[in-house]
Amino acid sequence: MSEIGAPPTVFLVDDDAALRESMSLLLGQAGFQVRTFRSGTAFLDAYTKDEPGCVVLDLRMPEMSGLEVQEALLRAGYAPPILFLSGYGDVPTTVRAIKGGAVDFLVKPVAGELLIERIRQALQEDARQRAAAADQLSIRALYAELTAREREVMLLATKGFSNKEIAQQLGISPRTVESHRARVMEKMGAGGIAELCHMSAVCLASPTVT
Amino acid sequence: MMTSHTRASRGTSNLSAADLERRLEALIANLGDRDADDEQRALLLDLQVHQIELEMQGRELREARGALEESRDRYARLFDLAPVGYAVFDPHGVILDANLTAARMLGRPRSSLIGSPFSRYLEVGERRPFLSHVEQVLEARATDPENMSLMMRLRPGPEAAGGDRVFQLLSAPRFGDSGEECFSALLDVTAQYEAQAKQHASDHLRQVVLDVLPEQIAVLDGTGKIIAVNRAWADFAADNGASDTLQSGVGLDYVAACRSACGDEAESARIVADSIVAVIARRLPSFNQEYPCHTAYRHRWFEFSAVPFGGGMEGAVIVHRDITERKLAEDHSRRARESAAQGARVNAVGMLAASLIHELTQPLSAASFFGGTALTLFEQGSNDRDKLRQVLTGVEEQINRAGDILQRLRDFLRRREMQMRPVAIDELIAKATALVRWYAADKKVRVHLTHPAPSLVVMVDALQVEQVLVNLLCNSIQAIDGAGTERREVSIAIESHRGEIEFVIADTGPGLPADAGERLFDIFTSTKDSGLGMGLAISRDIVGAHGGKLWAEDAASEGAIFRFTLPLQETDQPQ
Repeated sequence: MSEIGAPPTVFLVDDDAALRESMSLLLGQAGFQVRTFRSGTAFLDAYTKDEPGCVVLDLRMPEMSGLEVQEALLRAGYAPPILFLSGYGDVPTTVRAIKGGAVDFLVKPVAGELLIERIRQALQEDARQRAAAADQLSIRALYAELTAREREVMLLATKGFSNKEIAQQLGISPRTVESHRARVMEKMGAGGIAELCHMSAVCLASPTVT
Repeated sequence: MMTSHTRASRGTSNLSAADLERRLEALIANLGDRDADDEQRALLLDLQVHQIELEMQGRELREARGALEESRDRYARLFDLAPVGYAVFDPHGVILDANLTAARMLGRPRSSLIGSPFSRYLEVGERRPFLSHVEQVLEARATDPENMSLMMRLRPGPEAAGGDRVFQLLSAPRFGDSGEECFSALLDVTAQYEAQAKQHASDHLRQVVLDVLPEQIAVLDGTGKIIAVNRAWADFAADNGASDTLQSGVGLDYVAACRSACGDEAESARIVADSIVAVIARRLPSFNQEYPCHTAYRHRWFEFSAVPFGGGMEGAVIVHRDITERKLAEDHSRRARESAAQGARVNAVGMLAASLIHELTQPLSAASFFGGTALTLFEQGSNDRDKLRQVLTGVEEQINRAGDILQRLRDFLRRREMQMRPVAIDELIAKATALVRWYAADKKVRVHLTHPAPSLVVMVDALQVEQVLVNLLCNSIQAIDGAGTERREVSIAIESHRGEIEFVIADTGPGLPADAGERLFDIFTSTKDSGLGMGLAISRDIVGAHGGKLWAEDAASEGAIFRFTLPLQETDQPQ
């Protein structure tokens, strides 16, 4: 599964020093590990996607707005959970933020408890995503271990074809299909055909891995 | 002479003393030679002695009389030739005697004067005063022996040159040959009289001129005493219930009166007193001050001014001018401008509202987070006092910060009268940019000063000038946002020239509309939906009320430039 070792970090991006100080005190006291940044650029320079956690973004900042930071993260292929803080919620901005994958949108002033709760949820979401990503990674790793024939058998089997049909398509005996299939189930560690179907979907969805 | 006839009738009168003695001795010798009784002889001798003594006495008398006559002639000549005219009048004003000088003054021979009524030579109007003068002089003999004086005008006689003459009659009563007489000296005072008349005429003219002026005018001497006032001054004093002496005001020590003023106006009255003294001493070329002088019924304002006398004279003219009408008109336009400015500020804040709310939520959020931390520390039973202090200090600071923002906003929206006070221009710029900071950030427009503002002080209503800056900055930000230009910058520059400073607000927007021109400032014209056109009109009014100018021009490269000037006080000039 995922690398549980590193604790999650709350990345605070706000140009207001008092907000950075008060929020990091609050969140620190609540047991979170917090890193603060005075601008979107400073955050983007420091952030790597290996760090688990979530991002708290002030929507309005002088140099680079929260939305722009979100866009930059998406362009770079990162999708950490983002919690937006806004002084004044206008609908178009909110819609844009949510479409960009924001997990939350809080209108200031925010009660400390609410902020903590939402951050906790965001971190859970991150953990879930990272676990899922780690799963996919291991599925792909196992998939990479399969022989070409085994991959063919796996793909056809997960498309719902019977051993006989597969044998016909591949021009081999059904018995050979049977043994390939058993080896695929074993190599992939799948408990049944349903799980193998999920694994297959992961592998087909990421053509980068071959 | 008077004594000539007595010489012929008296045989011995001209004999010398020596002759008389000789004759007396001869007589005494004859008496001794003749036979006569002793008694007869003694009698004869006595008679002869008496006769001789009488002769001697008579002679001495004659000598004395001669001396007297000689002296009298001398005095008569003095009387006739004295530089002062003399005349003697009987109780009816008939000339009993007159000297030659008097005759020459009257332009008539003395012979024609004596025995004639003096009234004949007087102007008709002068006759009765003359007769009553004579009467008074004679009546006064018993009570008041002093000379009495009468001024009168004489018709010139045939021997006189020039026109009417003015004489002064100085008279005293005396008892003469014909009883009560009025003895008068005649002085020709025509020259003095004419000079005086001229002076009177000029005084009169001056007074008439002063009186027709609507301003209240008083003339002060070198010590600050009033020596003349005009009618407006007296009327004003009367209207305001001053006593008679104060109404005329003449003789009143104006400077001392100012110094002794008490109550609300004591301080300004003292300044007025000092200034008048300075003007009289010519340490000040002049002094002007406006002041309110309200009654229970209406508001009034006056302008006080003091100017020194010209020439070598010490003193000053002080003028109080009623400027109520001008003040009311100014007041009216000021009020109109203030309420328009107020409206424009509300308008501007409406536009800035979203940004301002954001600005306000910053400290509130921070305070809330600090508070949450404090609560957590408390619930966890923390003993970390340093952290608690940090957190609670944070709460306090952030609440104050929110309060400051509200105060700034309240100040900006407050309706109040124009107040001129010295303000540093960097303070003006800081306040205005603070109000538009978030608005600019939202619109992604950078507002910056091209270089640090010079440390100059201007005498302005800070709020109104701040408003002008806010209006111009918002206007530029909107222009940039509306046009979506690539570069999004508004720069503020301060240029100081001789006697004024110029604010230059340049933007990278689309520039002025081609046909805008002066219409840009028209209160009913706006190129924007938010009504900033009104903001521009009021901005121009405000700058005008401060003695400056506001105008717009297209920049050479890109965007528009708005410029406005404010007069710089000379004392505040650097260096």
